[in-house]
Amino acid sequence: MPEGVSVEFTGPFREITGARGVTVNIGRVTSLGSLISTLSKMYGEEFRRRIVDDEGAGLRADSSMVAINQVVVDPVGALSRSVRSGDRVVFALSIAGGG
Amino acid sequence: MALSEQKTRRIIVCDTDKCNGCQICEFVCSVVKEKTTNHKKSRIRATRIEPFFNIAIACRKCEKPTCERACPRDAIRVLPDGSIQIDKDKCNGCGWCIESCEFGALRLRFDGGTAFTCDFCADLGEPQCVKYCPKKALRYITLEEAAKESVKDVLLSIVDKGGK
Amino acid sequence: MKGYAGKYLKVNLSNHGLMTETIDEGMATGYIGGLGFGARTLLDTIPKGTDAPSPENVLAWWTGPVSGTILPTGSKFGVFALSPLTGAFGFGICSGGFANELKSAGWDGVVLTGKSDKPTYLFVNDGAPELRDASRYWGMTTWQTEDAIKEDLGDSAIRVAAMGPAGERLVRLANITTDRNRQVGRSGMGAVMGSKNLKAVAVRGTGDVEVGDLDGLMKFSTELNERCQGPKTEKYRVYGTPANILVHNRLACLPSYNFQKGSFERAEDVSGEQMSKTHVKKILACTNCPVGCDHVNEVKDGPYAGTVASVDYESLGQLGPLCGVGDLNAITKAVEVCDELGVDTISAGVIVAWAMECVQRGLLTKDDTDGIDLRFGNGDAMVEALKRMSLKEGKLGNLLSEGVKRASERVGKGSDKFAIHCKGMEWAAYSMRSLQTSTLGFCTSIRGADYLRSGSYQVDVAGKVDRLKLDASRGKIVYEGENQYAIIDSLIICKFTRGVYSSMDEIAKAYTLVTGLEMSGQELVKAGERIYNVAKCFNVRFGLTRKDDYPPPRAFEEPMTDDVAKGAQIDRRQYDEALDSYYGGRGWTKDGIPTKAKLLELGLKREADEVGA
Repeated sequence: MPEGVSVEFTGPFREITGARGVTVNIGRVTSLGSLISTLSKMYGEEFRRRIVDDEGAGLRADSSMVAINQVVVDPVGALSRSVRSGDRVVFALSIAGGG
Repeated sequence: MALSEQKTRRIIVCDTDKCNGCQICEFVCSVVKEKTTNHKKSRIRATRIEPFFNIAIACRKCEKPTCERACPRDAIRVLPDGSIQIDKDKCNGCGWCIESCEFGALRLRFDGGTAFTCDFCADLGEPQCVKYCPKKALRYITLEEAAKESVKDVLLSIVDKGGK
Repeated sequence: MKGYAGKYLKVNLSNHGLMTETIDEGMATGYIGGLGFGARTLLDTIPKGTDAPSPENVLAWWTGPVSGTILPTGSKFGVFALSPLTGAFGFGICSGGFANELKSAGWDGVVLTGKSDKPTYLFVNDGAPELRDASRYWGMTTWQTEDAIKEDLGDSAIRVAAMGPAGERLVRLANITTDRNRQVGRSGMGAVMGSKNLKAVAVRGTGDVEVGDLDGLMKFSTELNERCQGPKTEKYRVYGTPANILVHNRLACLPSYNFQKGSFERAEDVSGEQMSKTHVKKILACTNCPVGCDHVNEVKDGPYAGTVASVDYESLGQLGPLCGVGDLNAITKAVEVCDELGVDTISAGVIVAWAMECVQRGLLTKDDTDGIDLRFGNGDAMVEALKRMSLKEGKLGNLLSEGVKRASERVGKGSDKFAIHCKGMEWAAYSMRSLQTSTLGFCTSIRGADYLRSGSYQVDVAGKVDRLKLDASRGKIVYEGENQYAIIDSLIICKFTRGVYSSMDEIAKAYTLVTGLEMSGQELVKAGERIYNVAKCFNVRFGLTRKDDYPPPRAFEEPMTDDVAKGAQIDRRQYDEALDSYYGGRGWTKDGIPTKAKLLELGLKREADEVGA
């Protein structure tokens, strides 16, 4: 039984954390906001600043994106989204066109 | 030029690592100086050598300006701060000054046919191209400052690589 | 009116006649410019039954009112014609200094008809345009042509837009290149140039471009430039669009192995992060753009050492994971080949990937591929195949140069089932089955499979909708996006700045500052709707109906096998429901034909008589 959440970093989140990914022990379930707090303690406030807006109310949807398993998290109400042991969470830039 | 003036002489320095060829400096210059959009009326000139090299150059305030020496009609005067002033009435658009400048810092007007060059936005207090460069590639600094920055860049890159 | 030059150049290549035509305020406020003018031109001048490679095809080059001004990213132009790839509305939008130069020369656009009897190029020399002999440049690559024309005309400030050897050979996906790294990419506009013996268009402009309110525009542009350094454009500036690779991979929407899969086991090796580390030499900007997102690679080692090419997400995705290739060196080389010989990298990748699947299934033998080992993952074979396709060499080259639709019709044996296109336009690097609103937008796009008409992938990847399903709410998302994007493509500004404008009203403000003409956000959106309907009428004239607004069979018949999004496929009933909601919202019939009522509402009386249902 997988313990903890499998977190993956892409783009600027790799630079901030210096890692491609990490496994975080959370018990059975936590909120996305709590997970971000835990990661900020591990990697510094810059991590939080990139993903959470200034008021701390929600995700910085204009530049960042979080996906839990295969679902991109709607930025509205994102911080209270549940994250369960065994979930895969990806922190990324919000997707851009193509060229 | 007096020693004290040499030390404070500032020119527009372009960091070629940061310059990405956007040419916004040229458009801003034409709007500010000519009240229109026409990058061929810009004082600063953006130059590209494919595939990677980009730079924007304006008047260098040379110690011994070739343009001043080249002008057969004495239309060019060097101001105390080292910048160039061209007398429109004396200038007949021969273009000798333009040819003589190694930096392409002078231009000929299409309308009126006189030469012109950068006056560092003297009336506005600071060169506007420097203010508007989106990548902060342009700086209005003394050569002494520019030299120090270059050294700093090299030193930092050595330190990054773990040198002593 | 300001901003606009108020006139365009009409060129008859058959008799080398040059004429000046005017543009009035009605045209300006009704159709804005760019795509709006292009749609109007095509509908007004190309009759039903015209063949794309014939002299009767019309090749129209249009700037928008903002080109030549200080409004950020305004230096863009579009090239419009009946597409030799799709047989329908064809066009591409392109950046670089060309648009600014053309406006400075005193022209809003150039419309070319007929066919020159020998290789020709048009030199728009301010107000004295001339047609010149291009025999010396025939056979040159796009880059060689640009350099040679500038040198021969003795002015390196001249801007040149040229086709490459692919265009000369009427390769259906041939493109047009300017400023080295900028292209009129899709729908084969280079092939139309080839069919007219038109090697290039060169421009020298020395004139002033006047605007309505220069101080106001300068202030507004300064504000926009600052916003362009902020978080809304970070994703473009730092990693550029290649940052999509890992994200798409994680969401199983990175098309791989000819759209068989949505993820690639070597995605890390070809990611934007990796590319920034080992291949990106410099990040350049388009003319008058404060963002700067053009990531240019240089290959340092291996057989392709020294290759330099501008690599964006689409090129990376289509010539990487789509072909199973996990080698950035080979991908960069492939992009360089496409850029120099002059073909669209997106279409090229899809065509080669299709051929690789044919080989995988035994539908193409080594004899058919002229001995090339064209298997998924073979980067060298991919590069070689692209060269031959662009030069129409051998059996393989002649087959692939036709585009994936015709190539699959030629090969038969069921290969059309995995020819991934819509309306004959090859599918871009956005998964069909795991980004379903995106797919709807791809299929309603007037140009064929692409997201540049609506950007509808955005709701899928922002978590706003369930991307693995479709429903009747999606039609509105798509057509609203299309109307807005039609305006962006008519002004013409960069879609990467859409986030820095706070609303359509702010965009309307930019229009007024430039032109001095009154405009509101609402009127702009209406103009966008009008423009889109005009383009649609053109497609209706050329026989396109509902049947042409569907994704390929793979989308419906083959569920995805990736771990993430396992089992994802498009449900036919859901798709029809979504498509119905699109037509309904647009005021079109169930068969996708604009109704008379809708066309009259948009002031399109002639169109209502011709195609209105």
